[in-house]
Amino acid sequence: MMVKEFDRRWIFLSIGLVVLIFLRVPLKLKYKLSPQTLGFYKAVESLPAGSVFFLSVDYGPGSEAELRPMHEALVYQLMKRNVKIISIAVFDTGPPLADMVFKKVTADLAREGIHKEYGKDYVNLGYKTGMDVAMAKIGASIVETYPTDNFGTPVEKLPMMKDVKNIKQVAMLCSLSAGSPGVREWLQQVQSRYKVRMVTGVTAVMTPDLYSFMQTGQIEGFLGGLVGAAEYENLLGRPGSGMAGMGVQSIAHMLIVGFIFIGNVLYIMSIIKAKRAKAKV
Amino acid sequence: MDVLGAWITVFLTLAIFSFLYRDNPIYKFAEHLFVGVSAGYGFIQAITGTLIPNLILPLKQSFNGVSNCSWARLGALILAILLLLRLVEKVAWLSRLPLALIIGMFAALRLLGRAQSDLILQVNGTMLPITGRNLSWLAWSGVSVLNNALLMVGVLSVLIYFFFSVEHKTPLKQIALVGTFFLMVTFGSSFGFTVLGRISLLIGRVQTLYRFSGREYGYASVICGLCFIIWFVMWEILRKKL
Amino acid sequence: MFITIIIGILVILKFFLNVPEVKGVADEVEQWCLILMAVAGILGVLNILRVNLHIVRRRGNDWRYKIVLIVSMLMMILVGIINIVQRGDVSIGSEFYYLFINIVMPLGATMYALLAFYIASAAFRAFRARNVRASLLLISGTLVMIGRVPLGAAISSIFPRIAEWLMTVPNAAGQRGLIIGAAMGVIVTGLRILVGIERPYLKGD
Repeated sequence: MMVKEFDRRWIFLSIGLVVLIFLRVPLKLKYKLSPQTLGFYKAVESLPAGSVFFLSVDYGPGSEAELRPMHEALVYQLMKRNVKIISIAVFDTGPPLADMVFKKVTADLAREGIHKEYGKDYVNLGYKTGMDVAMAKIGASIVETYPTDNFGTPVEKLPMMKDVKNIKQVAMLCSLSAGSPGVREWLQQVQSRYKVRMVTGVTAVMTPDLYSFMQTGQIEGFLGGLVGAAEYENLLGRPGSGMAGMGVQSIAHMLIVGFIFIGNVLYIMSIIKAKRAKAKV
Repeated sequence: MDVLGAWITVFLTLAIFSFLYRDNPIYKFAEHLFVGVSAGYGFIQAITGTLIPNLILPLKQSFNGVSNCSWARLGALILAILLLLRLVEKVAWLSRLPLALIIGMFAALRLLGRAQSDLILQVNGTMLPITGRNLSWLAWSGVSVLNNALLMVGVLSVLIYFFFSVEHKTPLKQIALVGTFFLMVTFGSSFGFTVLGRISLLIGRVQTLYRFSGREYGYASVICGLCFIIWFVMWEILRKKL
Repeated sequence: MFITIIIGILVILKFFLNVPEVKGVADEVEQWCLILMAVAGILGVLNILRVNLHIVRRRGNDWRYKIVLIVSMLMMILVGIINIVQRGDVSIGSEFYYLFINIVMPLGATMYALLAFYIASAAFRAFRARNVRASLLLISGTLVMIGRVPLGAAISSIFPRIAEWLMTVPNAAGQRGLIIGAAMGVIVTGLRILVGIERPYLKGD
């Protein structure tokens, strides 16, 4: 059968069925911890209580499935360690996603008896246009770039912002990034200039770029896609949607490897057939 | 999430997925709805995120006499109006002024940022030791003689591959060929991670559909799914008849 | 052209010098740029409105769906403005936020989730070991796909190690070559813009 004649909707159906079925079939899997995830975790663990963490929520609905699990896990780890969080966004879809995660994690922590207050323990300063310009400006002065927070409150009225004027008062910077503007621009405009400690969480598509930056020490660790999020959740002992998706992710990968194998077998068979036909002539 | 929100979410999710079967009116409706609401969302975020706090409020404070140092924002207001004149054909040329400012700013910032982060630090990171008492010969990850040597050879050969100012004759040709091998591994790894990423996004949507398939949300996913199947069967029958 | 050069020099001077007057002027110009980028976004939306109104008026391709686009855009903007006037923001608890969660989010997420199906189809139909280089691409992609998921580690501990080595050595080398090359390109283009050889703001009038 010619590959070109094969109706690709059968492939769509098989992928769809695999995901539908295996999401309901729990697979107990062991996680091989990558050095990048461990680096991320250790960097965040090293932050002293009361220090300030600068989190840039640079993703949208198209990457929410990969980045939200790591976003929740990160905010959980930071709040449990009593690290204060400044959340901003250079993606216009960032602020509501940050609000959603803060709401969920503070509710989870409240059930554990840990209460966090907006303005004292965390702030959401909202979205700013300007991409690289906004980042360069944030490095020089957070207050000048963000005169108000996401709710319209003047920044000087927020208790935790009293001692934070620019990036030098921040212990660590993190960008949860789905594209541009994102981690690369933060590295260029802020990390390399002010030598602030940096970690990042990115989509799987962006992950291959970051190995070079980790090797140079520009970032201390990163979480790559849903796999990175699952490893991180496993480290924290807080199972979430990251870990829930790993079983089906594994099966789907094997299915695609199978497709590649079958496609190449058919291709080789067509070459042999063509050569035989040519030899006969 | 409330029940109405769940039903809207499920309907729109399945509307987009319906494209996998065939391009259809419901998919087209959802696609155009997406463009419209995204554009409207971006419009409002530009206003609330930047224009209100960085332009309108400072000017308001200056007019009220609260602060004097924000009168310079009038310059921004004038340039903003000039930029909007791009929509009027006769005076569109006035928008070149604010555009020139934006381009000058970005050109300078990117030049500086890239030079520091992507050039100097990356070149610095490539200068790795290939001899040393504590340096092992082989390692799966981290530093080793082989890894460091491969990294240096890889970076140099890839850079030579992209050097088109000189004709690629031997030995440049052979070095560029080595560069292409490294690039193939790079692109293969990127493909592997792309598959990982895309499957993760699909998993996210199916998790949402499962979440809204229960009684508390009125079996939204199940009923919507069945309605879509019935609609497609009827549509196919109508198409074949016409 | 002179504005581009002056602004560029100002930004570069601010980077290297610690003169308060230079810093003050550069800071204010950066604020102007943030504001202009926001207005550029608004300009884009107004342009979408103009183009689609034109299609509807002359009954162009898919004009009925363009009405959906225009109405949904205006509805989103109207709800946003009402929320800004009534409560001062469009954050959690507002009707604008409700529309974002229930319309923008599922549509955006599902649009990208569609790609999972197409990548599987592409893997079957187009991913071929035609020559040595294509085979190298295929093998490295397959090893990374197997090695990065827990099932790969369960099959054999060698898969995650190979995947890790592929990513940290040959992939990092290739990526670094691309990063350095692209950086040199951006630096040259930036210099060309700042000395006036390239004038992209003059195009497209």
